[in-house]
Amino acid sequence: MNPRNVYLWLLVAAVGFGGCRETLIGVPDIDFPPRIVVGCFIDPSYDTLTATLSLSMPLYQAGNEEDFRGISDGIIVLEGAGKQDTFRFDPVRRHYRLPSTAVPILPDSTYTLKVYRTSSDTLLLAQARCTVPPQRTPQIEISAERDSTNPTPFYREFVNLVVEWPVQATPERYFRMLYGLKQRSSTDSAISWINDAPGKPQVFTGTDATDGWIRVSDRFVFWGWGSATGGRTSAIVCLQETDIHAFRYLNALNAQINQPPGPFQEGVLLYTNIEGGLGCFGASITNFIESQDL
Amino acid sequence: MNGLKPVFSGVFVALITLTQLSFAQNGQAVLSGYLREAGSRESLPGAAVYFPSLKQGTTANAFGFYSITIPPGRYAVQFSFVGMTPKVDTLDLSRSLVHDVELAPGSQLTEIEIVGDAADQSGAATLMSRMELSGQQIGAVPTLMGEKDLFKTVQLLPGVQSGNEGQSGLYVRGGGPDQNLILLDGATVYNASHLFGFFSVFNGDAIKQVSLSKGGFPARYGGRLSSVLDVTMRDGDKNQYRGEFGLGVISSRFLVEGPIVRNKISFVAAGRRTYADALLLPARWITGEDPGVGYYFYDLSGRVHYEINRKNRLFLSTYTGRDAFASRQERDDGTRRANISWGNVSGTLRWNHLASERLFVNTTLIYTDYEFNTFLSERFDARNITAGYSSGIRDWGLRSDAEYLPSPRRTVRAGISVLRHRFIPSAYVLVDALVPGLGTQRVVRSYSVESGGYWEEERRIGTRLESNLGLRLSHFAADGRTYGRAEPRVALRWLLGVDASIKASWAVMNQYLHLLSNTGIGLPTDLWVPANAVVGPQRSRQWAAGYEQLIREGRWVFSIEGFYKLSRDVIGYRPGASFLLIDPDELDSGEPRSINWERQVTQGQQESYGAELYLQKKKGVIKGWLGYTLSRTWLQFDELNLGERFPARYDRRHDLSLFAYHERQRARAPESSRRISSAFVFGTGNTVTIPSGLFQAPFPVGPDNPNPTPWFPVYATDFGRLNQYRLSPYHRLDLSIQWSKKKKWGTRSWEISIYNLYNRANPWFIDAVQRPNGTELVQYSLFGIVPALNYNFRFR
Repeated sequence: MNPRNVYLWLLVAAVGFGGCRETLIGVPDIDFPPRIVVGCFIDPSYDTLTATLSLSMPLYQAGNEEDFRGISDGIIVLEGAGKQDTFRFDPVRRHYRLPSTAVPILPDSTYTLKVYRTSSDTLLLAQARCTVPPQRTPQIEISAERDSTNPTPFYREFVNLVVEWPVQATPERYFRMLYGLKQRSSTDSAISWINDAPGKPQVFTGTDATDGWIRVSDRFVFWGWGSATGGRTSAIVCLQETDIHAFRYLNALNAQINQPPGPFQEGVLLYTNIEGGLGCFGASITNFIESQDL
Repeated sequence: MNGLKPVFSGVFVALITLTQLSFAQNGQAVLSGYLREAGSRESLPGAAVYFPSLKQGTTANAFGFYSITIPPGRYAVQFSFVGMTPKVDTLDLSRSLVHDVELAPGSQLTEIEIVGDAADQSGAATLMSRMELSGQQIGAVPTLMGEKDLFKTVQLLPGVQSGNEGQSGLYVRGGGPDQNLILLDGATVYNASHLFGFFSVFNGDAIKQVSLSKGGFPARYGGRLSSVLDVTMRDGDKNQYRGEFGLGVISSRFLVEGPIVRNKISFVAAGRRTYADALLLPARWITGEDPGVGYYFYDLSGRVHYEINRKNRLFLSTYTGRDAFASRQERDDGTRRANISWGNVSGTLRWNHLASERLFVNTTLIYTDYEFNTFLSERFDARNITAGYSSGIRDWGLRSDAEYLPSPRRTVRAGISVLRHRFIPSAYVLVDALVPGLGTQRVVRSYSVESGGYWEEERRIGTRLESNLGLRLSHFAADGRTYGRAEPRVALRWLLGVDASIKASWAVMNQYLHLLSNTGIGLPTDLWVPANAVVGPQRSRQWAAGYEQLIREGRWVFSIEGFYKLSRDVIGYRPGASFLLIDPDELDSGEPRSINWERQVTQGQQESYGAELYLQKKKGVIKGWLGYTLSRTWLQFDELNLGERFPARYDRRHDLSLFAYHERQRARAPESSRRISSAFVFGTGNTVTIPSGLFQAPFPVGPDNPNPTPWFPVYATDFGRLNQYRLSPYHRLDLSIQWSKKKKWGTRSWEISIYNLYNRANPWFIDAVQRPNGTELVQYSLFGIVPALNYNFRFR
């Protein structure tokens, strides 16, 4: 056979080696120890301040399942407004609580959270600082329209909601906005918070402002069999002005939860202001507004 | 536009002054003309003109024009160009003389030569960090599936790194693909890849020359931070018709060239198309089922060159290329169709004008357009949804460059340019027949003007020192915000002897356009957006110094360069950034709002430093080069990685490439020849971010229940730090063998190429996979050994 033809056949045979292949790496050669996770959000409107404490679970080595769910032997100290006090662990709710009267939460004040653990001989494990935003009363405007159709055998209702508030187009203002519908009937009275869950688009900065206003619009669709009950419905908005730490943490958490799966996706690091750990110590000022019945 | 007035008026005054000066040199003789290839009359940019008795010389510019001013007299003058037979003419230069020269091509075996710095025949060039490639070299490099690829060749040069496995992206001295200015006959190419980044858009058959500047940028270039890749197409043969066609594994291509009016107007046209969609047809015939998917890309490029007279020439260059992916899903109750397509269209009209024998002016009208489109249609029973999305950028521009050569010791260049960009970062239509009132069309457009003027002076001081000093003034106006910046450029060369020199350079660059990419795989959803009041321009400063040595009368060239580049305000993506620019959750709301792209990005600092070694063998039976780069690239963003600096994804400490080829004619059959070429690459593994743990993320729930334990546990992933894990090293060996034989009507050649000869499983990506006994990392590799067979026929 012509030597050139031999080359050709060898090449054709080699095609079988091609294609996407897997190679097991196993455990990476980097040490990833468990990290302490602290969560505490303070607000002048809260009667009780709460905090959570747990350990992360390493992916490539054995971890402590109990500590992953929550640490009960921690010591969490809050300092600020000239006072200092320690959270108490609530074994029923499995988190730490502190009456806000013990350490008053005041606008424009800075607070420090320190975390120790009795099992580690009161060694400081983590600490964080945050500043409560200044008290401002934003001019929140709600525009909501209700529309219903009754194509048998079911009804369909639409609520078009627009919430807007003025803000300077500056990146130094941070907001978290929750909205919901308050529905009342002879037998029922409830608020359904529409975007009150992790992963929902609910945080904004001043750079989201257009012509000096941040606007959020949404359209709700309700439907059911029969005809609409005709109960009274109003829209309710909770606007929190947050500090930068709460904003960046919640924004990153939303991004990680919403990230579509895929091998080429860059991992989303959760922001943290906890020195020595994960989680967030953040602050906010809360404002409520409710629309007239729709 | 007020800020432009001083720039334009200053440069126009400079151009007028140059014109005046060009007539003011008395008592000197000027030798000028064009250097061309004999036969085809293709211009020879970089060809050398040398006066041995004066030990002075010059080189032809990008259009083959040369001019040198010397004392009157009678001289022997050498004209040379690599791959061509040198020529010596004795000329009477008692007064100025116009002398066009045609050089005959060398033998087949000397045709493929490393162009390198052509100026090394008249002393090393002042500019550093600049490399040149010829079309023949691009054709010699073995590539994936036998597709000749410009980018794959450029990736073999020191200081240039590839991205992911098989990707065509260029990472030059740590900079990203967005920081490269890619010019095709003067028009910017915004998306230079086919097939999701595996091939570049440039058809190697139609390329005459490529120059890559990695640093020490002359003032004539601006607009990007890291590199300028200037691609020049062939002029076309002015005397006879020639052509070439090739059949490959995934595509076929053609090239034709010839005279429209002999020795006056010539043309060249080249194109290629893949046939993966056509290859699926037999599957449909055999199975009787429609595979439902199809993909193809094509590109067409052409150039017409018109020599109006000796002083005026016109060049019309065009390029169009498109990728298209389509899928169709048929069901009993309806059909779903999805199409994705993207492509570039560009065109330039250039006018070369010899204002005098010392002043060469080139004016270019530029048009370029890049567009990305998706279209989705669902028709199921009564439901009829149509959704479309598109984005793109379109430029119209004009630039004028003047080159003035008053003496062999001095060259002055000046020019102006203005580009008008039209951006469509978000355009969509959405129709749903079931939702009343949901029929939306929206186009978000923005416009900007980018302009600049420069002055560049190359001067030889004494016998050893040569300088290239320049200043570029750039200006950008978008969204009511204007930026004006000065960009000084300095390049110095000190001759240590006949064959050695040291060089140093400093350059300031600004970049007014940002590229937003969704992933690292080079999907065509890349969006170009302008700098504005929120996200300002990127800027860099680069210092470089090096040593160059010619060995054995220029048979070998050795160079070593060190560089430090500091870029500020570079773009980084905030966690989870997505640049579809429409929130998918809002598509059902009837009035989706555009996502504010400025909110998705953050700006920070990039620091790159390293050393590059280059050893090139230019003559002999075996030619090629060895390139090695030792470098680091760090990023620092206040909003990423908790503000700590981290390595860039393509930070590679070691990057090695070895390219060699051997060509010989058979003694028994001189009409036949064989070429063997091989390339070996090695690079430190890329960095990636991997998950390190899981934790319960604290989350504040509804304000009426300030309880940090949410309704359900929010499990989040701890990723530790960005890019803290390094993949295994990347290396592979490619080989190609080409047999050529002259036939009655031309030359035919067979080429067998093997990509990844030893079947190395190089990392493409890694994934954390959950197993019953824990989590493990698994590496995925894309290409094993990939052989390919190509057939070419060149006729004349």
